[in-house]
Amino acid sequence: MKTYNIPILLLLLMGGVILLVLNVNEPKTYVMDVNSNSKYPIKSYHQELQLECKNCHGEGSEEDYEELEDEQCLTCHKSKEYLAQRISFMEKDKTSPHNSYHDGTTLSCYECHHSHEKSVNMCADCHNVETWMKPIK
Amino acid sequence: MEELSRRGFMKWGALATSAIVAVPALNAATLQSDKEIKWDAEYDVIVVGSGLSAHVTSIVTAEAGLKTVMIEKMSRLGGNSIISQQDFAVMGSDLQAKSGIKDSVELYMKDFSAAGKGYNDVRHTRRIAENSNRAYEFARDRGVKYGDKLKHLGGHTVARSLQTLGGGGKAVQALHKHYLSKNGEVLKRVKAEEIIKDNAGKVIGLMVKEKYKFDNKLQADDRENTTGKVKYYRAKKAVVFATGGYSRDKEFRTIQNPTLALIKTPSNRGATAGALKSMIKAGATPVQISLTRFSFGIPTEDLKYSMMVDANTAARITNEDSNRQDLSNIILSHMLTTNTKKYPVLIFDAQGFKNSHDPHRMNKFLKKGKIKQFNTLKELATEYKLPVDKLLEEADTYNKSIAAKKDDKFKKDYSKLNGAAVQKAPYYAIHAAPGLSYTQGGVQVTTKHEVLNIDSNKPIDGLYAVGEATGGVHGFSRITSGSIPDCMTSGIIAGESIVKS
Repeated sequence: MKTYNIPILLLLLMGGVILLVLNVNEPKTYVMDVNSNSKYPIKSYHQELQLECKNCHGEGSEEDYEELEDEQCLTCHKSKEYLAQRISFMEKDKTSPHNSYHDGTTLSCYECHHSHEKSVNMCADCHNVETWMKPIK
Repeated sequence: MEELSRRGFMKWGALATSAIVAVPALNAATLQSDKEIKWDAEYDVIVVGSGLSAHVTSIVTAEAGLKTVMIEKMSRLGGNSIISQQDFAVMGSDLQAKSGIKDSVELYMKDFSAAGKGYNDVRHTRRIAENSNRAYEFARDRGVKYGDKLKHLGGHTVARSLQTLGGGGKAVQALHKHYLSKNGEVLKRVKAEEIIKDNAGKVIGLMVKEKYKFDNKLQADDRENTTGKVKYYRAKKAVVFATGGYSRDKEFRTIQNPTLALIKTPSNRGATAGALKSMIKAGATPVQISLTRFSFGIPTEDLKYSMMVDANTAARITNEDSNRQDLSNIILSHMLTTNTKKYPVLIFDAQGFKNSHDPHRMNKFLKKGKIKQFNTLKELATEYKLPVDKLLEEADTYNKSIAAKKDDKFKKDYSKLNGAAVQKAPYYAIHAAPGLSYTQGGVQVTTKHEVLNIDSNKPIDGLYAVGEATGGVHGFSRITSGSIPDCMTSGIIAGESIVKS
């Protein structure tokens, strides 16, 4: 018969509970960094990665920065096909925005996602998306 | 734009004392000498737009080995084509043969002309009829998939409409893939601003704005948007406008028809009149700009089973048994004259709802919450903020007149109602909101799709227009599933004309 180290099991269990509670209490609130002094505040999920302007826009002054091309977003976010694959379960209801019923995987990231301002849901222009999508980060 | 005007001004200023200045002001801004311009890019064919018509035209020229570019002002490709269902009326398809359906060019034309009420240019109606099957085979051979059953849609004497599998989205995606495989080029966020002609009046290119950022929040994006970098693209053979309609251009459509101020539209955000204006400035002839086509979402044929009431007074406003154009005009004029922004309410009772010829579509609307269901008329009145007493009274009057088989007020033919009234619960309601789905107006073109000059009534050398951007093709209204054969046949023929030119 196997023996269990009860205190350690208990600790592990408690740890799990604590982690769960922490998770519940600290939902990721993906808001803009309103405290930032920059004219171009970044979203909290990019801030958590401690990204700086130059990481996306390169060296140079803010005035010379240009909006990124999709390809530049994809240097971190892999590929549009990869992003579509991650939510492929939505395809059976034709609701996947990354492999769109209308557009396939051709949509520009900027149709919905904005780094320095509030993101929008392009699909909501015509559809009631509340039943199938959370607000866009 | 400023730069071009200044140059234009200098050029004509220098010639101010000579007789050459007799060029109409309309054309002055577009006249340019070939030598003055430093071209930023050079193509054989520039196609403006990226919907179905643009794709078909571009494929024909790219397959013929011409250096072709498709330019799209939006960051999204496909225009209205990718959000349309794309039912496709074809004369003489293999599916008609398989089902033993007898169809002919004359019958097809008769149906299109009935919708067009004689406003349609029959040369174009014939062009669509005679080439529709060729267009179907063209698309099918290039990856577009169609269902194996024909639809028999409203206004068509026989079943002839193909179902595009996956709708316009899949169709355009398939054609796009094919186009790229033929070395076709595509540029997003490039807006055609002005058509450039040489001194002989031949179209030689476009002034465009690259990195254009369409702004939905602007009242008039074409005029107010200041984004984008001005560039000059040379077109050695042709410029093709495949720029669709202008149903999203509130300012322009309201100038043409004031009842369109409040109308909703399912069209894509980019459907403004800027491209049409560019062609008019280059001398094109505008045709039937005030004609528009409406749809209700739910089948128009089913509206007769309902009672349509004013959203404020709950009084019936018209004979509900009518066609989409007349009903929409009545609703929009009614709203304008009663100074309200609220669409009338359509009320079905249990039997009326059951009578629908397309229950699948009605149930889909119910599931999506666009049609609402109620146990009593009182609940319905509360939800739609209708005066309860007045609604009950109106329903009673309506039911009694149905029982008496006589509609004194609006002369509706009650024999078609199949038991529908406003008396059996549950009740169903939806706003009668006509949607502007198509603009029949556009520029006049020959059957080769050359744009005609308003002065000479002769083709403007090097300028073509296809699809919804053309005018006078469909007339008063466009028959359902009649747009796809127009877009495809015009694209094929324009492409072939350019290749031969």
